[in-house]
Amino acid sequence: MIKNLLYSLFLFQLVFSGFAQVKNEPEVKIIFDSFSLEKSRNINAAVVVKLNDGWHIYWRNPGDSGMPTSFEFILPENVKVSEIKWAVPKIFEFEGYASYGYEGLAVFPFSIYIPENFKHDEITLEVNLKSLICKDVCKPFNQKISRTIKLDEMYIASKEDSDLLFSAYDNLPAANDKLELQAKNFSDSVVINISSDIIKINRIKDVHFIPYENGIFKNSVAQNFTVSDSDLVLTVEFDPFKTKIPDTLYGILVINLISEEGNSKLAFEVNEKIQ
Amino acid sequence: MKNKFITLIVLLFGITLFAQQAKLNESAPNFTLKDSNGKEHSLSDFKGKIVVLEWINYDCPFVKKHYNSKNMQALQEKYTSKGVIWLAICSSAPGKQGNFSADEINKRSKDHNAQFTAYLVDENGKVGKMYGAKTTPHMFIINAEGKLVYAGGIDDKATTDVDDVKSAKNFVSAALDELLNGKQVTTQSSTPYGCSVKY
Repeated sequence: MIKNLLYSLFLFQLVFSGFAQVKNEPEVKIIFDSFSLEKSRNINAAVVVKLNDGWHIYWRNPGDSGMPTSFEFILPENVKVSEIKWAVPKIFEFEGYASYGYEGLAVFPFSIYIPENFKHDEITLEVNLKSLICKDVCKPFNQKISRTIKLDEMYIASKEDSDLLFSAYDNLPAANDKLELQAKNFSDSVVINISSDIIKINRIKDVHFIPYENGIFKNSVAQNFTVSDSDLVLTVEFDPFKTKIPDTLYGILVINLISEEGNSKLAFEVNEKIQ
Repeated sequence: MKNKFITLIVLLFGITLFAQQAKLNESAPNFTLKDSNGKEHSLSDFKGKIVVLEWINYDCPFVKKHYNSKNMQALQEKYTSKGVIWLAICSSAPGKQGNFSADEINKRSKDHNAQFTAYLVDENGKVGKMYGAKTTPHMFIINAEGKLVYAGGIDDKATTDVDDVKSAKNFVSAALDELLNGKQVTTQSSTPYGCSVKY
């Protein structure tokens, strides 16, 4: 735990040093991981937003207030880019309401596909970032950024960029291959029954469902759950003004486990039919 | 005995709070607030009329979008001229963004040429929490029978971009048109967007 914290602080310090400092404005840059087009036509990259102390930027679902962060890519012909991969967000609480987002260094990974017939020796990637940043007040933060990179030679990313991308990918929700889920619809909530042959359920210290879509479930810091040796029952309340009755449970399930080695956090993407 | 009394008080308090939560298609909870000129207004004063509640914070970028584009004022003017009561409510706590002196509220409202019926001050956030107001703006519509028939965003473009107003689907306008034509509100809820209410 302490080791991870120190590592994060170290990373934070390293990456901060790579940005030009402009007072009160976040800094944004595009980073690339090491690549050689001879080996793969896919390049891992990310948009990195360095936020000032106390400020946060929003996840794909902002929660009770705020605005989803969005990216518009301007690409050379035939070059393709993946969807943004969204790391597990932090939950920001205010007066019983909750928002989802990132503070400090927000890293938004994606991958670029360069086709075989792309004959240029460099590529310029442009991104229009549209976002809202908030502390005790909010302000729009829109920025156009670009980066040109040579393609005719092997690109070696800096250690900072490489570590940052590794850390970002490590914080993405995983495909759910460990939990068995059953979701049932009740009038004011969805009750999720969680069991597993791989994870010891009675070691779950905390669990939270974060929906991808806003306006259906009540956003909150804490959700009620009960644990037995064999299963965990999580209740996710509907928003009192829910916009629809969902037929699938779509979002991420964040689990905090305790073990002899300490605490660990797991996050799984769930897309489960609601009965 | 003392414990029983405390339990009873807590239960009664809980029931009162529960009863005061706004819910769709149920009677809108009554409230009384002072406006920016010190005059008291109760929701019950407007019995028999359609009432719009607009949560406001003049410094929020999303509120600025709708006031700088004159979108909000146009809606206020159009519907108050048809007999709708339009109450802007500010639940910003003292010292928080959006909490202004009465003079400042009136100056800003005049500068914006706001056309609401009244700007109500809810500094302790009691009315905001009773209605579950999360954002500025957050819109609620009460029909002539006193029932809450709409809760949600002003439109479907959750951005701060003034240009988006033109292409947005305006839920408030649609609901008010339906009510004024004697119809049921088709879209009764949408996801509100904006800054958090500064309770």
